[in-house]
Amino acid sequence: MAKHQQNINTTKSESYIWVTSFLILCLSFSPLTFNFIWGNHDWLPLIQDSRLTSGLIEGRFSQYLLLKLLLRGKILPILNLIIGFMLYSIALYCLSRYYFNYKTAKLPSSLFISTAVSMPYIIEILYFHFITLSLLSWTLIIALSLIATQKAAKHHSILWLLCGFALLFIAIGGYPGCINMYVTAICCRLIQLHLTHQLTFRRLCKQAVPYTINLILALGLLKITFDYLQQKHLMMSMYNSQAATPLELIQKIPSILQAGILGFTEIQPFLGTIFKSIITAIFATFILSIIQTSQKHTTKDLSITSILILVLLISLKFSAWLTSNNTDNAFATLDPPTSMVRTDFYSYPILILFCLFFIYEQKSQILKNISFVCAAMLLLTNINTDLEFSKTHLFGFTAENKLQERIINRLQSNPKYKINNLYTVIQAGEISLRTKFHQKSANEKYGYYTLNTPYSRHWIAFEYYNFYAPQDFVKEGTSIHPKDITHEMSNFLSTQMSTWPHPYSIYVDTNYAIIALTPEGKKLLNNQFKLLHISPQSWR
Amino acid sequence: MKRILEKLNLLPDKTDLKIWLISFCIINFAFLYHSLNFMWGNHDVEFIKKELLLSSGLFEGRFTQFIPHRLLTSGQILPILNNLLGFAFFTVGLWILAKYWNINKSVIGYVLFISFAATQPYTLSWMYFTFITLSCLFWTLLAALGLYISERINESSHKFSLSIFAILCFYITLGGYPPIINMFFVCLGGKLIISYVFEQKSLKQLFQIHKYTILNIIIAAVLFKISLLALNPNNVYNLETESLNNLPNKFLQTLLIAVKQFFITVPFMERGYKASLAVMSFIAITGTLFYPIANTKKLFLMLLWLGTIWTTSLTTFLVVPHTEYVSRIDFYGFGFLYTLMGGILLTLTPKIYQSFGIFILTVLLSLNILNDYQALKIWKQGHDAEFQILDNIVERIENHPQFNANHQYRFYQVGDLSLRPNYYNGSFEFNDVFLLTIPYLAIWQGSNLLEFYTPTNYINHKLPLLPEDITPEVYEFFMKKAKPWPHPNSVYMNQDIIIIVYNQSGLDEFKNILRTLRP
Repeated sequence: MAKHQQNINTTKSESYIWVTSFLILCLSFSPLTFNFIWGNHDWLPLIQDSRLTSGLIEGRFSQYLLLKLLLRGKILPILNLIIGFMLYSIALYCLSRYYFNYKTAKLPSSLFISTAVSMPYIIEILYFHFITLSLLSWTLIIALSLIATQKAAKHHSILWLLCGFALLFIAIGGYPGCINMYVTAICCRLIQLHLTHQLTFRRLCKQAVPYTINLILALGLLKITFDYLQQKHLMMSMYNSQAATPLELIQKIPSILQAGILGFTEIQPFLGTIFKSIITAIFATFILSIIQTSQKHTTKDLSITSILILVLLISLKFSAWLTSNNTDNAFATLDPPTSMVRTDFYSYPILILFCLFFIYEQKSQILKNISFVCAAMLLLTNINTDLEFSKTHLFGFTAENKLQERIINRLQSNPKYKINNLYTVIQAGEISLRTKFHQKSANEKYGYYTLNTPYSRHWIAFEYYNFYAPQDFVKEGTSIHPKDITHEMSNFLSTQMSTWPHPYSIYVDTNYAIIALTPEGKKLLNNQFKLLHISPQSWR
Repeated sequence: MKRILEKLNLLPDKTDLKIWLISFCIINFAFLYHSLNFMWGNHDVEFIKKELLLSSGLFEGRFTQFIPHRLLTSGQILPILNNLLGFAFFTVGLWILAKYWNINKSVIGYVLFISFAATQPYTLSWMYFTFITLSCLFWTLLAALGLYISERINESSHKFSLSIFAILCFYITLGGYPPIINMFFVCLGGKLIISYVFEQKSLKQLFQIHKYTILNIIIAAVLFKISLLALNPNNVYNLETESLNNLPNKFLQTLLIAVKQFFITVPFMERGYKASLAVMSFIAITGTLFYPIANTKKLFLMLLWLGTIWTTSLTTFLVVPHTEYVSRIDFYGFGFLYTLMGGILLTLTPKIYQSFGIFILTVLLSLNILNDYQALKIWKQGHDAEFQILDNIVERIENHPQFNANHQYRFYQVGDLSLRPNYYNGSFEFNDVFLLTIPYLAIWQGSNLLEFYTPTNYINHKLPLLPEDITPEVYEFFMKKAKPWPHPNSVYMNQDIIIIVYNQSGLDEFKNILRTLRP
């Protein structure tokens, strides 16, 4: 009876830990949860259900598995985020409790897990609704994979090993970038085993074997799957799915190490100076506590620790290390793999979670206090930043939608607009208004998805122009067929066209609607038109 | 920290934590619609985009106003958190007040006491402007703490340090919002009544204990005055204090105002609701008068009651601007008087009073929540309606054939529109602008509002409309053709200026100005 009561109390205490972190995460993004805001790829998925095969085009074959299973492939307000948050908070709870095996007291555990889950790396994951649930769920799948592989190492069980491999393969099949979490967690665990459990180099290698097998197998199979999908023309070859060659991998080590360290200092939108200073302080304290622990060890032990820390720094940017250097792609410049918040989401929170527990578990009361204070400060900063992001997201979305409404009103009140026609809309340029509501800090870099990308992309104009219309008036496609160019259109494109909101920013005829939204877009359209070299005789 | 709290008897036990949590949830439920719909008032337009600086309140002499924001949210006005933090502080502040007043401790009693006090529609007056919600609710915590600590000075061996701490509490709150002085004295009056009746303290004992409170408040007030003089704030429009000569005449005037507050109705505090509050107050006052104390003491008790009621108008007494029946001032005065009445009912014996207290506070809490939801519904409808008009005006400007988005126009808004009253069908004797009529599209925020969501900034914020802008054509247009929104002639634009006419009274005033500038 007493044992049963004790079990109930333990369960209650354990539930308290993850419920607290889940609630903190819900609070941090409550404006987004209660106001249904979606990203620029979500317009169609919001109306149509996602199919299991929807992710194949990017090679993400398991991307919609959970969305299909849990929400029948639908993007549902509130539920989409709440379920994602739940899975993510359980993932970090499981990782700290069952993988790192920290059985710390209720209060510090809740604080550390809440701090890690609310770190603003998650903001990029929340921009596109169609992948939010899956991207958050991979954390749990990977945590389970790690626990299974740990069991395999302990019990020498093939079944657990296979289990770990299958889970890892499913996760990286949904988003290869989540491999960072797997590698970072392993590095943390090895450091913990070496310093706390004083495992020798040989025993450490033995511990690492099942993880390495799973990693190599999963990555190898992923590569085979990509090749197969590309062969069948089901997958596009994208800049972020091309693997680096072995030579490239060796060459990239210094730059990846540098990127791993830069991750603690580089200021990005919503990952500001205070936030970076606190995580740097936590990592620095972690290193200090390692040095303190290592003082009792030999030089050999010290070199093992140093190597493990270097590997840990590489693991923070592991996906960028594996990716081919292809800077030609525009996205690779705007959102370089080494500074991608979406992949950092799978490494830095894991590292900080581990660091906080590691520091707290040291004997020194000062270190315990430092971890507690740092975690509390970081938690407050996280909540503030997350809510600031939510506010910017909310205002930007509202502003861009209002602009969209005004453009549609102008377009539909044009005397040439016919109610039953289907138009090809050529939108020259895009306007992103989130930046209007964000106060840029000094030296801030990047932030393509966290701040700069607009809610409507010019190449999928039909998706959002039709979204609220009583009947579709825009058809798919963004090109003007040369035979459709009239004298009037040519005149508009070559001489009259001005940018929004000028009266000559919109052109309408029976088939086409042209909207010149920005000077850059207008210039590009002008140049494209000139490139056509169409003689005036060919005009209709 | 723990030891200090223990010494001060402020360390919450399990029951207290339960009380906090339940009360906090009830308060948040009462204002949930506001928390979930991020609405902001006409002073917030720029603050909500940028950030609040420590110096942002200096222009009106509120030098500590943004300390809580800077410390907790780096100066950002954040959706949901702004309200959550404010309510958390308010909950703890009211809990300290309950301890200060020695209200009979029970979960239901404390929860009702705190929830009733916090959900009174007076609280709504702090929710219209989001930039002050957090700080103005936080001041209640500091003020209650200042009072609580001041009371303990007499029996403490750390008199000096406790006094400094209490003075700091009073000083910071005065520097953030001076009318909080009402709360100091209403709560002190309440404490005197409770000690005099229930603890049977003599006048001498009361003086012995509470002289520190009065002294601390006076020191804080003097420091506040000195700080104001040192800061020499420009454009201080609401800090003008009454001259000493006028004060005697004003005493009776403000006493009348204070008593009238029991009956005057304002938006969302209508007759039935006010009557219920008056009944509760009447029973609480008579309950103390019939309490078994010596008859000779009753005269002084009556004076204490009169004094406490009068202090609800203390700000009105001390300052020149009219502050009577203004809900944000009454939040710190009359709101706490009603809270005191509830607290007394929960403490009075025989038990029937306490049962009645629980009954009436439950009823009033329900009425508070109903009133709050009604108000928030109306606010949301008014907010949406006004912003819809703003959207239409932006569209009208963008579609104007002469409009050039790359140009910088001088802008003038003629009149304004307040649409919240359109959705309110209640009646009231005194209109409180913050609760109902102040517009979201205020005349002086026109240019900032116009550009809030637009992709380009086309208003010249440095130069207002100039006399030379009133050309014969402009003059002719406004004298003969201009009409309020949505008439086609409600928006005027030429190569230099944009003028929008919102309403007829604004237009009439504008015409008068134009006559003086006739070209």
